[in-house]
Amino acid sequence: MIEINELTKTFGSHTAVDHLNLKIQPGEIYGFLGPNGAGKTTTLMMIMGVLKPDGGEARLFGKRMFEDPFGIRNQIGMVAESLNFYDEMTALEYLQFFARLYQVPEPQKRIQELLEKMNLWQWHDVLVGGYSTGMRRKLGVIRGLLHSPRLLILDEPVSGLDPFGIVQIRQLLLEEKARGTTILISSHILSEVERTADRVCIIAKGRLVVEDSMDRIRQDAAGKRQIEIEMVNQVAGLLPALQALPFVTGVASRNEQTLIIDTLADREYRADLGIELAARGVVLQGMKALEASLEEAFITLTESYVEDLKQDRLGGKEQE
Amino acid sequence: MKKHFASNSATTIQAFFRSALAVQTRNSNSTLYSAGIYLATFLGLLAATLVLNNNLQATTKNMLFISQQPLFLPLLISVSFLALLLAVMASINVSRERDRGTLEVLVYGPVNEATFLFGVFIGYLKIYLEMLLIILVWANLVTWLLHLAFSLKILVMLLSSVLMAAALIAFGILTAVLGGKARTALVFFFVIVLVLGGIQIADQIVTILLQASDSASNSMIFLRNALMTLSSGIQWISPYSQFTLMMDGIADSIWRTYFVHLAIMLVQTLALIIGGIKIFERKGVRG
Amino acid sequence: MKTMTKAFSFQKLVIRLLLPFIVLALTVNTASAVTPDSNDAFVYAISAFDGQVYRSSFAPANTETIYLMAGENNVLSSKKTEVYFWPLTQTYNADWLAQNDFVDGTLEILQGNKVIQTLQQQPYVIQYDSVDPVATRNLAYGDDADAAYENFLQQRKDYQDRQSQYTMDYQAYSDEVSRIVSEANGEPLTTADFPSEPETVPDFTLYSTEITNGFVFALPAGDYSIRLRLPDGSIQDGSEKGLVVFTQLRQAISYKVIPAERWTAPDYAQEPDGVIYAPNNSTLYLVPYMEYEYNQQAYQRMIDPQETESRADQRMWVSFDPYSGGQMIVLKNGTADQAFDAVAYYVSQSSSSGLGYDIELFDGSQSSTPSFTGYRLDLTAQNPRYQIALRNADGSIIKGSERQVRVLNTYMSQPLYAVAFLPLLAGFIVIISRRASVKKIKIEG
Repeated sequence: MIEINELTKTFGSHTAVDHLNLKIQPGEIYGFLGPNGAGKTTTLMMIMGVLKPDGGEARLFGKRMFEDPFGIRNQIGMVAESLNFYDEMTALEYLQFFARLYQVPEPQKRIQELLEKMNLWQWHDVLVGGYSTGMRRKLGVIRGLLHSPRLLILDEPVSGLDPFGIVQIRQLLLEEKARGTTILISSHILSEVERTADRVCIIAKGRLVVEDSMDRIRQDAAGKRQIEIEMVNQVAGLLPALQALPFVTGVASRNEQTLIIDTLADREYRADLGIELAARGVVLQGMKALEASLEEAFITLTESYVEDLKQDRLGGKEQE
Repeated sequence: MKKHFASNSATTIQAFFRSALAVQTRNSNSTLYSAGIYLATFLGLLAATLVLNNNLQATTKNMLFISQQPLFLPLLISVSFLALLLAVMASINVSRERDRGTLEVLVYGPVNEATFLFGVFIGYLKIYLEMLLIILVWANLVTWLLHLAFSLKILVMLLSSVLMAAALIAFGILTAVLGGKARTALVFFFVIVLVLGGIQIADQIVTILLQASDSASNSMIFLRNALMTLSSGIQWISPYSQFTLMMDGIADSIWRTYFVHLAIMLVQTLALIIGGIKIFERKGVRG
Repeated sequence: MKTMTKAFSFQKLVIRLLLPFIVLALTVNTASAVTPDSNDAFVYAISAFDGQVYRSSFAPANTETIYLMAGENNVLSSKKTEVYFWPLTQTYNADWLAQNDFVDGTLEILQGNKVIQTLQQQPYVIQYDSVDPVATRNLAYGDDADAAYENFLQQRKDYQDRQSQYTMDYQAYSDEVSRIVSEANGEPLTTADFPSEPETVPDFTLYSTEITNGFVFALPAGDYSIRLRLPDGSIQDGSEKGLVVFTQLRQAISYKVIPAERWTAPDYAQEPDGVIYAPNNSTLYLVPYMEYEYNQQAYQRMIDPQETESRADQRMWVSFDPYSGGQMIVLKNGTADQAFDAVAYYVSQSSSSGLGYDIELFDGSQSSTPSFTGYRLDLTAQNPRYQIALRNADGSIIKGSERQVRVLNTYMSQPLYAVAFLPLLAGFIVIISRRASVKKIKIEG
């Protein structure tokens, strides 16, 4: 669906995007993450053809933007982070305008359907200038979905939304995915990306840091697997015994009944642990593998880049 | 690659006009729902009424007034004022769309620099035509009230004024593209208009001064010659000057003159709008 | 910041561009007019017929084309004179007093590259009676020039002789009157006692140029060129010029329109599609003139070869002789509704403090000749639209004599301002409809 090859963009002496390579498959939800200043928005602008790359190319549906700009853009729904609307129009008029641009069939029906899904239909004749931030965010998403695009690109789609709104957007995205829409999400609300994305890439300083499935990223970044056990009985000397096991890297006690055991990340060790615990007379109430969070993975993977960025900026200031 | 383009060119042209018309509708509705355009038309007609009243008073005083087209000058004032204002509005509109980011949102869709500017252009032209209808109704009412003679030449004059408006609107769009921000665009616009207009006015003033004077220094004569040369050059690039020359052709039924200046204005308009599009494409929507 | 810097530097640039002009305008030194440099140059002195009389001008070196009217004799003289450039008017002037030498040669008139006429210089005079120069103008040339000039000289001599005789007769009359009065010794005297006063001698109104040499020719309309071939066969420097001979484009009737009301001034309705407007209950007197339409540039440059204001794509009407013999008709639905003849009128100027004038029927007692002969039109609001025309004795309408006359509603000047509010009314309707169809509320959170 989207192929980015050696994409590069510089602004003066600053390289915003540095030989980036990505591939987004049709029908997947793809998380596009990175710290502030990583080059995410620049990359999205180049994908959309708003900015011209200084090197490399971006292909959408197998074509470069300039080959068929109207044809390609007709198949993309872009929801940018900034909430820029025509405040003097009503929501209905605003969407009718875009429906006309995209030649949406049965536009009135489609507009009403989407507005109702987002609980905005009762405000359809209110000037957009009077909308709250959350309503404007929803309106932007509706605009992006209006023409049932093949590719949906969202930059901070849930920023400013209340939990109900976030759930509505999430449901909408999952519906679109079920329809076969490819979705590219860039967001700082990692929990939402975690819930919806099939694959994620993290970029920093314009370069790709990692691109993989959610599980692999979480696990690989954590460098370990965690198992939580709940015991019925306490056994003396259990902690040091567990610590001595070759596949155990750490043991922590949450409370008298609950232990968090860190194991090596190369394979699943719950069966081995179960045998060891049984041998020591531990009666288990429960055992489960704990997943590392995307947030933790993100921080782990990007903190060195953020430090570098800070140093670059400080160094620049000293030079001044 | 060429083959790829050729097969899409018909669809591209269709898409271009479709998008431009959508942009045009949005722009013209937005303008029609605000008071500014009506106020501008009113002020233009007020100025026209002042001129007409002047003629009425002259008739009362001198018991006589002879004219081929008594409505020409009042209509010229009102359409010129309206066209100038629409040019300013077009300039502000383009700049503001860029400033507030709504242009970027359009460009995510099937709109590029060319469709956007063309859509703005025809949008304001449409508004001009709508206001022209009001001016035509005014002309008819005034003719009926005063027992003026109404000729088809007035219709020809008003229709021809559309070209002047087109050229001025295209100029306004060009200043927005050059200036970027709304304030800078306005500065560009007014400085250019004032300089060109100022040179023409200064030329007339200096000529009158020299005619009234018995003597003149070399520097004043040099100034007069310089202004005269500049002024005659400006006449070729000024849509207003070309329009008044067209009006001379209409008034005297010299159609060759009319069509020559009509062609010049067409060229001016095309050069301005195409130039604006090309510069905008180079600068990009983010400036 | 970057944008502000850009705007600021653009303004600076504009000021810098204008600065030289401002400085030049300010550096006016108040010395008197610059003394021009003159030089000896070849020129054509022109006596051009303008449709009524002959006008004199000259074509210096910077004049590339000479314009003359077709169908009538015009005169060009090849001369050398002191020519100087006058910066104030941006024109060349000839100092004929300093130098006025004929250049001998033949004038060749070419069309394309072919010489179609070769002319020799011949003597000519231009004469007219200043009472009616149009009707009496005469260009006598060749063998007739001498005779015409001699005739003029003779008439002038006769006038001078009559004037002398009158002077003597008046002196004798004065002396006689003095004698009678002194011999009356207080006795009452009547006019019968006095001799008749001698009749005054009418003014000498004839005018004639002196006999001079020139190339006299008449050409049909077209584009030509001229040059002066010197006796040695060479072409005189500066003598090659274009020659445009033009003719009238259209013919029509113009009207001098004189309002009956005093303290007004007459105006001219020259354009056939021009409309004459007058207030309600007013009276107009229309005096028709024959007019012809010419190319503006051709006509203006015929009068002044150095003028630069005229435009080749414009036309102008020039009124000539008063037109007499037609009957004025007022048309209604294309047919004559009223008809009336031209009447002689006399304009009596008020000499009192009231000033102004009154127009009366001419009866011969006010003056020897009427002030004008024209048609009277009384206008009322009951019939605000008139179509007037002149018709011949055979009933045909004289082409170009039609005019529209309308009664202007001058009392509508204040209500007119109300009509200007039309766009505000339209805007009010649109904006109110818009506001009714949308909700303008602010939703928080």
